Amino acid sequence: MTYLDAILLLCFRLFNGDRSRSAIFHLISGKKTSQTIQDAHLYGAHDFFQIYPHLSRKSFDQSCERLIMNKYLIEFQEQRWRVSEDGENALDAYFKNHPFPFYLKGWLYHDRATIFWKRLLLLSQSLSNYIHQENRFFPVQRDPDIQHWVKHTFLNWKDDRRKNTKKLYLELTKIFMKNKFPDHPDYIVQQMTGFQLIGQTPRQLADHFKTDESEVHIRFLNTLHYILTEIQDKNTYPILNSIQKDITQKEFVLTVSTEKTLRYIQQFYTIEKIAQIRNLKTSTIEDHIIEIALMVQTFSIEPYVELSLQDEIWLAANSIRNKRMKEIKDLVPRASFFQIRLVLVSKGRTDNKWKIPYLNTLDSGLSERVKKKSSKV
Amino acid sequence: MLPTGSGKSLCYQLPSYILHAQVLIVSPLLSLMQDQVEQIKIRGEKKVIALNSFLSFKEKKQALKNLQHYKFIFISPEMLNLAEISEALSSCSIRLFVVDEAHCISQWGPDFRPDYLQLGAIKEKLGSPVTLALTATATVKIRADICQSLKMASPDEWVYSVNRPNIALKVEQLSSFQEKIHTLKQFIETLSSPGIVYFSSKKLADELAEEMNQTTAKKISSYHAGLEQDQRILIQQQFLTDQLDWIFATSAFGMGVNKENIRTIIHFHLPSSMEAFVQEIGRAGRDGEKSLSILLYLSKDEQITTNLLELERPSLRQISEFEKIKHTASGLKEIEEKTGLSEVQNRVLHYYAKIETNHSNWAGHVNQLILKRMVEKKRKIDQMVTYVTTDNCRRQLIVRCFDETNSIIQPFCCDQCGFPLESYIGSLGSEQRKVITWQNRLASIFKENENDGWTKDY
Repeated sequence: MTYLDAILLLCFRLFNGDRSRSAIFHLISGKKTSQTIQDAHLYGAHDFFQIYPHLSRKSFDQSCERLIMNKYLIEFQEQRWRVSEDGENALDAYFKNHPFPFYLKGWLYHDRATIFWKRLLLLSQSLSNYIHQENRFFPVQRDPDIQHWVKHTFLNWKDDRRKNTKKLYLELTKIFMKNKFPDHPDYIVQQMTGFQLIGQTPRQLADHFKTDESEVHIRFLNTLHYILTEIQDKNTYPILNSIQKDITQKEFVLTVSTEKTLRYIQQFYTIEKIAQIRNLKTSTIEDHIIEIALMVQTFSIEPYVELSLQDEIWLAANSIRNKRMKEIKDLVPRASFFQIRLVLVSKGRTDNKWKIPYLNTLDSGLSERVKKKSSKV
Repeated sequence: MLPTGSGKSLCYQLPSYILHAQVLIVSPLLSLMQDQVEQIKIRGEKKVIALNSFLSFKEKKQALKNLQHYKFIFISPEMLNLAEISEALSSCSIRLFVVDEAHCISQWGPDFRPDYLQLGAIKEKLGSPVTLALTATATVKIRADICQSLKMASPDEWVYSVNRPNIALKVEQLSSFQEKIHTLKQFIETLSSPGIVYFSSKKLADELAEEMNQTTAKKISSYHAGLEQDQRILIQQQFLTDQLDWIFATSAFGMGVNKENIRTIIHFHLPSSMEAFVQEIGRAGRDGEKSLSILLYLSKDEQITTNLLELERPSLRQISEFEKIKHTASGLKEIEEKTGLSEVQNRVLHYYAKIETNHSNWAGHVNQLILKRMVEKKRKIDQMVTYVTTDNCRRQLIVRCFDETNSIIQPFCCDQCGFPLESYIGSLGSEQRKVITWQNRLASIFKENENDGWTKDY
């Protein structure tokens, strides 16, 4: 089993046969459509968003075929797949020998991580050449925006260049040496370029660690996302923090029409009033509100479902399997279908569900063992 | 016509400074263009721009607005067609017009680029500036094509011999695929590096690079157009800084790579033409030191090369389909998706759609034209087969292909004339490199640890 196979099994497990294979491909390759993004949130799979941005459909399909051939996936309906008992066992066995990517935050960090990493690579290369008194080198990043940012920073630092280079070195060392640092620093450091010392490619690292490229990539990404979380503490990591502080990222993405509805809601318009103003059906506005409740964690549904009714619906939902709306409605006749849906999406968001089965390995020292195993350099 | 690495770019960079002239350079390959721009930038010249499809909309707009401020403007031939570009160019005063890899102009050349054919007209639109056509490989016929297409009346021609005396030539005939791989491995382990092994298959380059990197003491990586740009840059830089011994590449690697000390070029497959072969082996020994070319040949290898050519050819059905939808399709991409044409095939058909009009049976006519080109290409492959199977001097055969008549007698010539392979054996041991720990690497990057020794190991 490759690391990609394991990640796919985690995704299939989350979607539990409710969505097609393509939905998983779009999720991990990071297709920015409202369908993909809503699915990601509804099933608590948003941490996997765009974790394999360069994945080809062909490699994805090959990976799926492998899982099907090994009977790790079973087709319980046409084109609907669930993880089998064998699959569950294989997955458990796999993560006993491979570090589990606890720190992945695909949706939160996908843009930020890419830009931060490219800037860090080019900035390190520039500083390295600078302190080695070399002012000519081929940049490892050709993206003009990245080059522009590094040039600007480099010029800005003027007399502080030496001091800041040292600081950057110390901050990196500090973070790598942390007890909680999730994996071997090689996945970051061996990819970095300095004066006459060119970084290794992920494929070369895979060769070196005798593993597959998909594992190198996720172990790298997991540590990168960990670093991004840590450096939000700008007192401890002023330089690293400054590399990403200007990168703004939308916290949520709504469809254009839903965005409009949200603006009316923020001005306390009722559903009926919004429908009238926008010349839309009330059911459409209700769909918008469902989307908002799903995507915006801070959005309160109380104006639409009073608290006691929320509890009643949630209690009913948990008393029956499959959370079928009709059955909930039978138990709570005074709730509308809209109110039931709303409670289900806002309370049913299952963030972090994907890592709960593995939490016991986080501090048990197992991850430490896995780290050591693969770090023989 | 100058061999690769002999300073063709100096021919337009120096005059540009002396004459304070703005230069327009047409360059066919995006990766090559990027490399050329980087090389000019690295010597401190910032007034250089590459106009190609890598530019974002914003960057392109910005570049076009300021076009007259650039000293060196690199452009891909397909970009020259765009109205906004020719408008921006007309605001410039281009005094030197350079066509790089000019052999792409010729229909008879292996790298024919239909867009190159309009360069003559574009040159006139620019007010017929002084024109420089550069190529490393061109037969008399192709040179005539270049002059005609670029409307150069009586140009000064500077033709250098294709012969590179410091590169010894060898063909190794093998009897099975297994033996071929085994022989390659032996060469990799013993012959002088840095070196390049050329493959016609990305997959094989990847697989063998991985396998031999694990099982030999040499550092080997593959390089082809299928890699992401970030990885391509790293591998190229590793090779330039001697952190890699061998690159297993497709023909995508090499142009624009200025490395002086490449010692050995091995061809695992038969190149598609003598032009391509000479270009590829010409990357060895730019420092003038003794270097080696080895071509591994398994009987019927030419079939692989021919098959690849056949794959390149659009079928009559595809040509007809193209004719049907070309006016209604929204763009190149849609045509490619609907007809299954490759980007290059699509470009060729667009070219024919432009120049071959008034045919009642257009598709059939174009199919005939393409078949005729195929015949010519197969003739090129036959030329390579002759190179492999000849009983005479291989060097002599190469220069004859380029219509040179001088006879060459030299030591370390070719395996037909005889030379000792032992003198191309590389040193062992010094090639061994350890991967340093992350602590050392980080310290080395930021010059934090002055601990002697380990920085030199790498």
